[in-house]
Amino acid sequence: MKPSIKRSQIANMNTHYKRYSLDYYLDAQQKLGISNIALWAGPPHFWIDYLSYGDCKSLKRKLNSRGLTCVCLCATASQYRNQYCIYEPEHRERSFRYFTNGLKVAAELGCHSFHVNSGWGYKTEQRKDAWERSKDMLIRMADVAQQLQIVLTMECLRPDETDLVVTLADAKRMFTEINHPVLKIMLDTNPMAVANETIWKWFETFGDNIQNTHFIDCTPHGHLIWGDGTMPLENMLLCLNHYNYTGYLCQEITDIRYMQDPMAADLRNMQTLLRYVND
Amino acid sequence: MMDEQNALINPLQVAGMNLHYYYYPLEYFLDSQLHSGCSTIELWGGTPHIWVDHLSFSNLAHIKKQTKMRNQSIAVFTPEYSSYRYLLCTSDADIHSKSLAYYANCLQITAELGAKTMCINMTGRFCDEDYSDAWKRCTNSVGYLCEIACSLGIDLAIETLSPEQSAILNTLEELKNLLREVRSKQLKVAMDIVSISSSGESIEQWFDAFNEDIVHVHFTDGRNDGSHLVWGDGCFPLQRYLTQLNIQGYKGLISPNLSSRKYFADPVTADKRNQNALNKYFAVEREKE
Repeated sequence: MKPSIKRSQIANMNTHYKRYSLDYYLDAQQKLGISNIALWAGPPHFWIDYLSYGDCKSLKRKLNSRGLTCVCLCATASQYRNQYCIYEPEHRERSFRYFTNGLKVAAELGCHSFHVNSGWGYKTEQRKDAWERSKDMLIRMADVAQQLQIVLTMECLRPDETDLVVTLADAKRMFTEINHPVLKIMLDTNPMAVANETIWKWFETFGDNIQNTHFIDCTPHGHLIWGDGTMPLENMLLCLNHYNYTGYLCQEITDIRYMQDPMAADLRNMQTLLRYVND
Repeated sequence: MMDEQNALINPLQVAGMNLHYYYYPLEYFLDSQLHSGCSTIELWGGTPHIWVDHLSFSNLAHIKKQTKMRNQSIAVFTPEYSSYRYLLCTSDADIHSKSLAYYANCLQITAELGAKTMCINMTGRFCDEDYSDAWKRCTNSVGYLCEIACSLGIDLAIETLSPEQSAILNTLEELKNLLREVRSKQLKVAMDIVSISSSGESIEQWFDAFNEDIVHVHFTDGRNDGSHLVWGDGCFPLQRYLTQLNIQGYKGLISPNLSSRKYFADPVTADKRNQNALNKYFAVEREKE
């Protein structure tokens, strides 16, 4: 049987629209017939720092007027400033307050979930020390998220980014050690492919604790639109159907080749995904 | 004995830069420069090595102490820009005023670290925005920062960026216009070899246009895709570029802004390979026959 998804599960992101204004991105999504977006809340599109954040009311108006809903949020964690495992205590407290503000933005926008990752330590330190620091930060984040009624979804990073949560086994260990009711799993198909794992294995391990996905094509390198990589789309969708996954398929497109004309990339991506849409 | 025509640069002109040491502590970077005999630093102002935002910045005593104990000096301060958090050409009034405050803090840091030059570029115009309005914000912002630079006795060196990095100030012509419109003796030029190459410009053209206003050079290999590479990893003609700098009588610093992530895992090896490529062209005392 041919696998299927609902149109509303396709949550487009703004990661490849950084050379264009937020309005341009939102207009493009409206034109594409998208109803749900997964906002990458980073500069230059949305301001968050450790003391303040941008105007959520204005952002909500922009979304409402185009019939869009922001279903999940990512506060950027790879921009030479804030991350989940930073070593220096003064940077760490600022990072915590920054991510907490990100959670508040997610709450104000009515998002279901907020992305987190393990962050990274210095390459000169012991992995176990960095691991404990990362865990401590994620627990503090989970406590805040619980108060705000938001789910944290933790994704893996690539080995060139960290040696903490990279593989399914790492994710399982962090997930089990933290054991917090609002900490859930985000499946990112790029690190999954880099680690030579399958989507079936991920769902077998985490089941319905997988509450969000970065569901993109890759070679296994790159964050590509569907059709530009080598991932078995139909088989992966079969897996989602097999496990009755009803969450989002966030389109985290980051490759530089799409930056000049991101809407053309989105259009091509949608054409592939729409073959499986059943509503 | 060194062949005289190969003696193209003085080793003291080569500065060390910490951008690709992002996964390592500041002290590790400074130690590696000490071991390779590099005593002049261009400090890239990104976290974790330093914190700067529009409201405050790290206590600099630590950095000053660490460089002093290694007999190193910071010659250039280069604020982190590639997160696109602070944008001098943005149409968002709130982010624009935060950006001015950020770069004013960066000038303060430059002065406190005893550096002579701050090196910046222009970002913040979206592709779907009007160019001339963004240009006005560009000249106004640079004029504002030049006044502060003047009061601190610091040179503000502006470099161009490739179109992959910014939708404004990509070319020599634009930079010429900026210098003409702002007219400040503090306003200088930094030449990024990758950016000028991506615009199809030559070192000779830049010296014809700016001559001794060129006070700093970001000098890496490249392959015209915006990447900044160790010499030997790209396709730029190293000897020809060094010859051109030599003919122009350039006496300033050259430094490796190695922003390509592939060097982040082992920056010491990247620096060594880069230095080995440059070593061949170091001017040395001619041995007596």
